[in-house]
Amino acid sequence: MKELEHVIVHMNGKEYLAEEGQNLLEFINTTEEKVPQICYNESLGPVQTCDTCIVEVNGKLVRACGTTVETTMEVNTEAEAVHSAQKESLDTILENHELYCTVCDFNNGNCSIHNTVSEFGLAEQSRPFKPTEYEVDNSGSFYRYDPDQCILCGLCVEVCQDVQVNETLLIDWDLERPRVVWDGGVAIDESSCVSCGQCVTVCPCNALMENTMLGEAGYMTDQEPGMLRSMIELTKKAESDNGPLMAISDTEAAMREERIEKTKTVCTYCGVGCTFDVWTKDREVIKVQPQHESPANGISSCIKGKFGWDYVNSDERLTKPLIREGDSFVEVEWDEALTYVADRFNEIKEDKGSDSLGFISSSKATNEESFLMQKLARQIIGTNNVDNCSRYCQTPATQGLFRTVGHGGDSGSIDDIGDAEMVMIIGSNTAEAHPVIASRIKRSQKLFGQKLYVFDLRKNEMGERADKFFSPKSGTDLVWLSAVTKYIIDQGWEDKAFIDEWVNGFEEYKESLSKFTLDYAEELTGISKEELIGIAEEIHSVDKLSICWAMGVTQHQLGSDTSTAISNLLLVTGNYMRNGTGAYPLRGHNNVQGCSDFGSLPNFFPGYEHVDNDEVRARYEKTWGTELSVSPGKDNHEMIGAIHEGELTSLFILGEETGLVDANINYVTAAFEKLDFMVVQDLFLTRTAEFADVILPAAPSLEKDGTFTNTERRIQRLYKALDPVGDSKPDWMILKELAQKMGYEWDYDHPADIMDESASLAPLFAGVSYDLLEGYNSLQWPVAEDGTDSPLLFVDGFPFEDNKAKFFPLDFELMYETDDEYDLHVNNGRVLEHFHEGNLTFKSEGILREMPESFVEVSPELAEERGIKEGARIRLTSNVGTVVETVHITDRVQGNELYLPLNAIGESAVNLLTDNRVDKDTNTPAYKEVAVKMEIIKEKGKSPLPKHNFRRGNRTPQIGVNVEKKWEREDYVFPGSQVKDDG
Amino acid sequence: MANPIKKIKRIEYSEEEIQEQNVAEVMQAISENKDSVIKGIDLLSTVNESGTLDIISALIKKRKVALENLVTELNKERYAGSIENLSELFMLLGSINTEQIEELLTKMNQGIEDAQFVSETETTSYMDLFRAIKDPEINKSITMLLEFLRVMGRD
Repeated sequence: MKELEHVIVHMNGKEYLAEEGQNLLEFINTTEEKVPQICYNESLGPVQTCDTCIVEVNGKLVRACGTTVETTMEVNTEAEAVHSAQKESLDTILENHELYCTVCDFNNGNCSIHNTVSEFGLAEQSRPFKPTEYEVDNSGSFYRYDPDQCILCGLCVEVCQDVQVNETLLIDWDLERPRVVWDGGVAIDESSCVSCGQCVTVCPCNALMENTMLGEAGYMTDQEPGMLRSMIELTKKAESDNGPLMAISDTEAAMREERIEKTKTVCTYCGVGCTFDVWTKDREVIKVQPQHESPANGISSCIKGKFGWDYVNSDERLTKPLIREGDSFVEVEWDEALTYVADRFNEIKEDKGSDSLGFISSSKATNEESFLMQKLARQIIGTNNVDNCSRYCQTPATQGLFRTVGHGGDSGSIDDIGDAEMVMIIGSNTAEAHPVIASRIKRSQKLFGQKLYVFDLRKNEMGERADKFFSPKSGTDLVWLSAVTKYIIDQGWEDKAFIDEWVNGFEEYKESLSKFTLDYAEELTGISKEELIGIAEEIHSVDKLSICWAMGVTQHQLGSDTSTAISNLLLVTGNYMRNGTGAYPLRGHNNVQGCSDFGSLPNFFPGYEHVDNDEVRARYEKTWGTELSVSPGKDNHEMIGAIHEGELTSLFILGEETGLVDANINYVTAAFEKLDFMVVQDLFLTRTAEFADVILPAAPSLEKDGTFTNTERRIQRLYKALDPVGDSKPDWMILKELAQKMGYEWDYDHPADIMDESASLAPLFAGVSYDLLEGYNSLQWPVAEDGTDSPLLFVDGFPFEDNKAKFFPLDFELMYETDDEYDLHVNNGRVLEHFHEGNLTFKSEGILREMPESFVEVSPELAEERGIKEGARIRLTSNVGTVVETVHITDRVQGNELYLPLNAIGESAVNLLTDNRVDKDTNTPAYKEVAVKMEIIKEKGKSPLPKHNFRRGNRTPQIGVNVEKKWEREDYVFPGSQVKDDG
Repeated sequence: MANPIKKIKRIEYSEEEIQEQNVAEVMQAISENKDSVIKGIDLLSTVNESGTLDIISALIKKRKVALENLVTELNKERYAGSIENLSELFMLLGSINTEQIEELLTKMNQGIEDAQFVSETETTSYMDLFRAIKDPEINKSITMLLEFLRVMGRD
């Protein structure tokens, strides 16, 4: 690392040591000197819009945040001229912002304007507040904008343009009274705003506020608009001086802390692992506030994490255990339900053997709960039939990484993806499925020249933004990856030193590539030879390459092999073991990584130790005091098959919507009907639960403690913010009580006890403890016994015997194609607004307003060929089933490709079409290989996409807030110059 | 064979059962907070005896109306001066030198007290006045009064 040069700075007569090139304001903030800084946000850096941080440097008044530390710098923060200039700036701000703190919902102790006025001791403003003529914009589903309170600091614009990079917000500096505008000047509702909420998160005052805060946060803010106005007027009269105003509103703010709880939690949607404080008032979630110190996301969030928590208080939550009786479920008390389940499990185990029971864990539940589920299966039942939904998504990626580099996890952190010189995204709709990671890539591309290459059937947002977008033929990624790798080797561009030192099997691998010529690849993938060479040249030209991939790679019959090909390419080019490089299989659920890590897999104990390894098994047998099964169990897919075969007669599904998300659901639900005994543990009466004999009511993340592991292998704590609804209980507590009913002494008082047991048994988590995970602290596995974690996964080599990675030779055979009868290809995946099948997001009124129903995307050319228009109703039939869909025509898809979002349910569910074909190595369903024929039911109709959906907006990209345009305005005077002129 | 079903039969608790459960919860809370509850009852009874409880209760029930009336009234022009004065007066209080005032008031009190002992029939002639000016205590009082009048009259 480069040594930083230090320089001496003189400030207010004292000497300080600063780093050369450091921002002056950031330097001042490391000292005891205080300077006002309303528009400075430590996550965003200097914006230079508010002019409150003016100081004197070498006798001249300048913005501290716009100045760089230099040697022999003389800084004065106390001079009279400095004070006058700062006062002038504050006066200008207060012309735009009315101080009525006591009746303001933002008065929670963290208002930058309030705190600055208070600290500065500004008793009276010299110019009165000047309201604008703009109306408050209440059109959005989740937040509102009040131009009369907006101080034009532009933090919202900075975050929208350069952090979220959705490029919706601007300040229109050309207006007589500048304001924030959406898409250049339309209502929030009609704009491209994706409701990520980051503008609201960074707003330093009440100009942008969550609708859930309005009238809720304060003791006296819940008033009719007219009344509120009267109270504001009265407040201003009675508190004519800012002193009393500050005293009263500070007291009110302190009182608010009595009834608003702020609890750190981890998001429960995708695998990014965003953390934030959730503000609750009684049971209401009134605000979600990501933090600067949130390890994965910083201040970022998406629509679901910021606004999608309504499901927690849904009326549909189950509040009591249910037992099937005839044609209905009957509510019972816990004791009855658990005794019944325990007795039935024991009976079945006795009659038909341990392996006739199966267990499916939840990627939504905590690590501790995954640990207990596999412990229940292994210790109490005596079977390895335990699996989780990673079988539906990323197990092939894990397999590909196990084969080559030995650990099934992201090579580094999200920071590394951001630091890469080149990012390749393969088969991932990142902007909608992992929005916060997508933002990191978009930011690096926009501001730091990162090259973005996207490979996808569908031109999703990342495809639109890519430096190069390629649309290879479905299921052929392995071919172009191998061809590009071969070309690199043929040119002698492989990283010879890296391969010599760190990788085995190069010659054999090189041999295996002979088939993958550029001609062969061009023919199979549709990517031209020239383009393939261009890709190879670009990869060769960069020092740091990261590759992100997701279901577009894994959910194919060659999913594991394609993931392996990605890892081979990274090994050939030496893109492992360094920051900014590596393999990033983007995990889909909040804890799909952790659920597998903590042992809910048929062949692995926690920490990926094989169940048939005698030494490992002995370790668990000793601790658990029982003999454990040596033979690997059945995975999800095999369990369903075994039910049809009559070998598996009981299934316990914890928090998984198997009846909708597994492939070929007609086949899956037919299996459920054949079970002797089925237990489902969930928040809701889901489609899967409809088949259960017993339903146990569980509690969601906000109602419990525990840990989740995100896609970066980062273990993070969630803290209980609310009590469980009704008689529902956290999953770990239910499992513990069930075990006790079955005669086992599980005496965990808190999830921390469960983590301690896991850490004592699995070397991968040896040093993990709740103490090291306090608050926003986190650990990335492997974690050594002394608590040292591994942000970069491969530092001293790879976890194989000789410390070297392996090249893994591959072959290719085209296994799927459309034909004359089934002539259309169905692709499927996520949409930004809804999570998966919608069990959680359908409970949110705001999200439903953004996207009330699902649809199938049809290309303009196919629509024209078939004579259908927007809103048409069509029937699609595959070799196993039929769905009915409403048509949305868009050029995101092309030709004969259709896109069906996962939130289509009922008669539209995509898994009515998918069949039993699976990845040959992991049994992950080949969800992405579906050929259908189309029939038209109705030629046109109402568009399924509301007018106010963000997809209809028009982005307005620029870099940052463009403060130069403010300075160019005729009415702008730099407060420093004014002070000098006056003086 | 288990076909998919959606119907839920809720546990129907009788009125008595619900009441019993609620009472149990309340009793537990009382038992855990015995001292506070007894003090609370005492406070409530005092407030009730004074008739204040009725007033407070009515006011809280009508709080929206009350607040609106109050705020609307206070926002009228004729109060503007008074409300602004409120904070001005508050500021003024801060500038008074309480030590001096206290000294002055102590002396005034003493004077008033002693004056009570003057007999109702006793009179003072001009000569008595001239003689009194020579009394250092009286002279000091008069000097102070004149100085006070002089400052009061200053523009």
